[in-house]
Amino acid sequence: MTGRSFRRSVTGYAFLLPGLVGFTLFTLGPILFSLVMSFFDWNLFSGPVFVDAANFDAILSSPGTKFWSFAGNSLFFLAIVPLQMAVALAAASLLNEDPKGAVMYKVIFFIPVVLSVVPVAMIWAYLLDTEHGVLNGLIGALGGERIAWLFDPAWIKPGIALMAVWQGSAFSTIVYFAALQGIPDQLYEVATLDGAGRWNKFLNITLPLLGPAHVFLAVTGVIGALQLFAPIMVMTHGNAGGAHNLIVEVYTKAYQEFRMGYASALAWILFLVIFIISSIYWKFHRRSADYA
Amino acid sequence: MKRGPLASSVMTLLLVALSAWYLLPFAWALVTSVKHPGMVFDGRWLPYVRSATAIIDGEERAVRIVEERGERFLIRLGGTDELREVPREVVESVAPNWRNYADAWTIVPFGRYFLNSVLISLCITIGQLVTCSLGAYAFSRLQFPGRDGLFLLYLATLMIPGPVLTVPIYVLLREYHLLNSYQGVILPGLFSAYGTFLLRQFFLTIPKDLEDAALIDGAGRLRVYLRVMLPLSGPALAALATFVFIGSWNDYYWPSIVLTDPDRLTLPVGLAHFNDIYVFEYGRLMAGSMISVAPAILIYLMFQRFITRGVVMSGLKG
Repeated sequence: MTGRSFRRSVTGYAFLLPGLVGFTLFTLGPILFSLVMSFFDWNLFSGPVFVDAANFDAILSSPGTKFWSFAGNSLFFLAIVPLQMAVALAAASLLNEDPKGAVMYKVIFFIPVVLSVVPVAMIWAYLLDTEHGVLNGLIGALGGERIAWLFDPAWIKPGIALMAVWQGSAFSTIVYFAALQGIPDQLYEVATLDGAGRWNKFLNITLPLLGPAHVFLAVTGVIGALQLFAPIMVMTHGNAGGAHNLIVEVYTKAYQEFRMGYASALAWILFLVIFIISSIYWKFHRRSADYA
Repeated sequence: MKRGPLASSVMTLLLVALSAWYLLPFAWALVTSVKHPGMVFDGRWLPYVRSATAIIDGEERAVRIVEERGERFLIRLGGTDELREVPREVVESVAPNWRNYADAWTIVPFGRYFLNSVLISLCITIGQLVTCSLGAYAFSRLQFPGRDGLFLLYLATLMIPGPVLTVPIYVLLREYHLLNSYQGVILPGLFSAYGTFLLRQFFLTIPKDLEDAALIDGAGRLRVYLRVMLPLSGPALAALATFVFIGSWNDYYWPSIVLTDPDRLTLPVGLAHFNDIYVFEYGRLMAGSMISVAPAILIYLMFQRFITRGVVMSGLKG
C-alpha cells in the first residue's frame, strides 16, 4: 500500500468510525448475536445452554406455542396496507386538484403523521368502547347490535386495524401527494387533446406513474403492519387477546418471561415472513420500481 | 384541469367526508375531555357544567348542579337556596369544564415526561445527524478499501426488523447496567444505517467542483465536510432531523422496554401507564391525550414544510 492510499484509507475510516461503532454495537453485532442466541436456551439468570434447533421446533410444531394463530393475527393486519393506500390515494388525488381550501385540507389530512400512536390509540379505544363508544352508538342508531370491539376475539383485529388505517393513511397521503405533484402537466394536456376523459387519464397516466410510490408504500406498509405493537398494547391494556401477533409474542417471551433464545428464534421467523412478503411485492413491481 | 359543477361538488363532498374521518375522533375526544365524570357517557356533543343555565318554569335561570341522580339532576336555583330535581334535558349550558385537565396534569407528571422526551429525542437527533453525515461523506466522496462492501452491508441490514436487534441490545444494556436509564434509550438511537443511506444519496447529487476548488486551496477533508458539504445540505439535514426527531419523540416500543423508573419515562410511555391505571375514566384519559397531542400539532403547524419534506425524502428518494 502506498503512503497516499494508506492516508486515504485512514481518512475514510476516520469519517466512518462514529457510525461504524454504532453499526457494530447496535446493528451488526446484535444480528449475529441474535442468530447464535436462537440456538440456545437462555433465561438471563443462568448460563445459556445450546439446544440446537429446539427453539424453532418448539415454535413451529408444538401446539402449545400457538404460533400459527399468532402468525395468522400478524397476517390479518396486512389488510391495513391496501386500505390505508386507498384512503391516501383518494385524499392525495383530491388535494392534487388544488381545491378551494387546499391549505386547510392538507393540514387535516397530514397531521396524524406527527401524532404519537399512544394518545391516538387511547382516543380510538374510547371510540370503540362497547357501552359508550361512538361507533357502537352509530351502529345502534342504524338498528345494529353492539360490538365488543376490544374484547371479542372476532372484532378486536378489525377495531385495531381501523385505528392503524386512520393514522397510517396520513404518511401515505403525503408520499402520494408529492408523487402526484411530480407528474408533468404536459402528459395530461396531451391526453386531453387525444380526447381522454378524467377517469381515463387517472387509470392510464396517474396510476402507472405512481408506480414507485405504490411499491414504496406497499413495502413499508407491510413492514409496519407486521410490526404493529403500540396500538395493540395501548388499546387492550397489554392483554392483546385476539390481536396477539408475533411482535407481541416476541415482547412477551423476551421481556416478560426472559426466554431470550426462544424470543430470538421467533424474531428471525418474523424476519423471514417480512422478507418473503416484501420480496413478492418487489417481484411484482420490479418494472415500475426502477426509479432509484 | 377544468371542472364541471358536478365534479366540483362531488369533490367537495369527498373532501368534507375525509375531513370528518380525520377530525371527528379528535373532536369527540376534545368534547369528552371537558365533560364531568358522571356525564362522560351522555352522548352529547356539548358538555354540561356545574354552573349551568336551565329552563325552569318556562324561563331561563342560572342554576348550579348539586348532584347527578341517574337521568335527573339535583339543582340549586341561582341566588336562592331552593333545590329542585329536574330532568337532564332542561339543563342547557355549554361552558366546558376544565377539571379533567387539572386532574390529568396532577396525576401524570407531564412536565417531567416532556423534559425526558425532549432530552432523549434531542440527543438521538443530534447524534444521528453527526454520525450519519460523517458516514455519508465517507461513502459518497472518499476512496478506501472495503467501502462498497461496507455500504452493501449497511443496506442489507435495513431489512432486519426491530425485534431481531432489540433482544440482543437488551442483553447488552443489561450487562452494562444501562437498563432503565436515558443512555439505554439514547445509545442505540445514535446511529442509523437508513439515515446514512439517505444522506449519501443526497451528497451524491452535490456537484464535485465546489469541493475540488476547496481541496486545491489546501483545505483538508474535515474542513471540506464542515465548510462545503454540510452548508450545501441544509434542506436534507433539516428533513432528516425532523424525521428522526418525530420518530424518537413518538417511539413507544423501545422506551417502554428499557424504561421502568416512573421519573424517567418518556411522554408516550408515561401516557400509556396513565391509560392502564385509569381505565374507562375517559374524561381524564382524553384530557391526558389532548395535553400530549397539543405540542405535536403546534410543532406541525410551525414546521409543516420540513415535516412533509422529511416524509417525502424518507420515502421516494429512499
